[in-house]
Amino acid sequence: MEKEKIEKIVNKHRHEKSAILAILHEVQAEDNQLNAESLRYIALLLGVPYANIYGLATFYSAFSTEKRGKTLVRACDGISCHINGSQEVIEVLKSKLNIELHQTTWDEAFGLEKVRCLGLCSISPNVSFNDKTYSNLNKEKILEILQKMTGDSK
Amino acid sequence: MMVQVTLNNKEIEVPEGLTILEVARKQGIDIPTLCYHEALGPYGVCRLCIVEVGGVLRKGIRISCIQNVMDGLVVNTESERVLRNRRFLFELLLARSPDAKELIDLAAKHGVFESRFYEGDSDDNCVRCGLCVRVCRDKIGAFALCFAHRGYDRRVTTDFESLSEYCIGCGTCAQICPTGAIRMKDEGEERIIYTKNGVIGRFELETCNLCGVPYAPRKYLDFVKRNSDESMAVDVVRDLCPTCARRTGAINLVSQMAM
Repeated sequence: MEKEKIEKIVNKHRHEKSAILAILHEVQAEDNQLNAESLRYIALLLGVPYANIYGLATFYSAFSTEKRGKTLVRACDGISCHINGSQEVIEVLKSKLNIELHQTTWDEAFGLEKVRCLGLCSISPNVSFNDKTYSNLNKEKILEILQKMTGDSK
Repeated sequence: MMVQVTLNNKEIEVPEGLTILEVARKQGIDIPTLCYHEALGPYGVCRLCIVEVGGVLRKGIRISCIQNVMDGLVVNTESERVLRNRRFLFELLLARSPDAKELIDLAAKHGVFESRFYEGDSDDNCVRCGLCVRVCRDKIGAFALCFAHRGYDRRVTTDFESLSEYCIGCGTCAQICPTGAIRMKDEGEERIIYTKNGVIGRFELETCNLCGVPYAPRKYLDFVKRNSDESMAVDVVRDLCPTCARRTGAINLVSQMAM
């Protein structure tokens, strides 16, 4: 990400070291990644060693050091979702987006991830697209949602 | 203040504020540890220093490097329960680092020769004791190493797994590592600090002003200069290797005495 943008975010948090997670969240949201360049620049601005910020950024699954899709698809494969057919849903996602798990589509529009639980077991299986979660899914429903999503993003 | 502790059926009086491990080692009792180092204080991750406590504390297994002594504490460092649990811990550690010679020797000393959890060779031989990360951060102050990733993927690395800008090439991490996961070697005029997965630091060695032998990286010498007072730094300023520094120091001393 451009240095000016990072500076703006860090300034907003008054260069507080304690705001480092908030800063990382904002940079991640804007750039869909925390690459070495951005992380090192944030570290410089805050006066934090590179190693510390790298440890922090790799610890949380909310952050990614590689480019993520604009829309992050989190397919739940927890116990409830699994027995209610999440495997089928995930297969549809994989084949329609034409990617494997933890990959990003060629146009960087979608990233696909398998997660353990979204906390909505009673209405499983669930898939979340960024902040929006769809429940009670099956093959047909996920196809419909996906068509709507890809239509929107084009 | 002194407190009364029963250590392996022997009543002793020890100062308050010490940990069980410190007291036991002073009494000459051998408790194995991997993540404990006198210079760094307790961390409590390798779990090998377990002891059985009782008396004022509820009977059970505790980590002796973290548990402080208290009045009326009863400690047993070699009960059957302790030994059984410790053998189990050794098996877990061996599964993680099956080719670490130091760990194999320590385990053999405690009667563990193989691990039932063995899953194939380790990719790094690291037991995640954190000594290297802590010594680099807390004692050296270089901040070159960190723990990255989480859970099973957690590992010691530099920032972005690249050659670290912060590393000064002192080699403390290689020296303190209990399993030899981080190593250092001086080859000709180059010092390399490396793990099984890659190189942490690569440095050109400065040569000694007197004998011309390559002996230490510039960054490390600068660091020593910055952090020592003038009288101590004399030999570093003159860029002498340890052998020559000792020799000239001795010669100076003798000539002073002769006068």
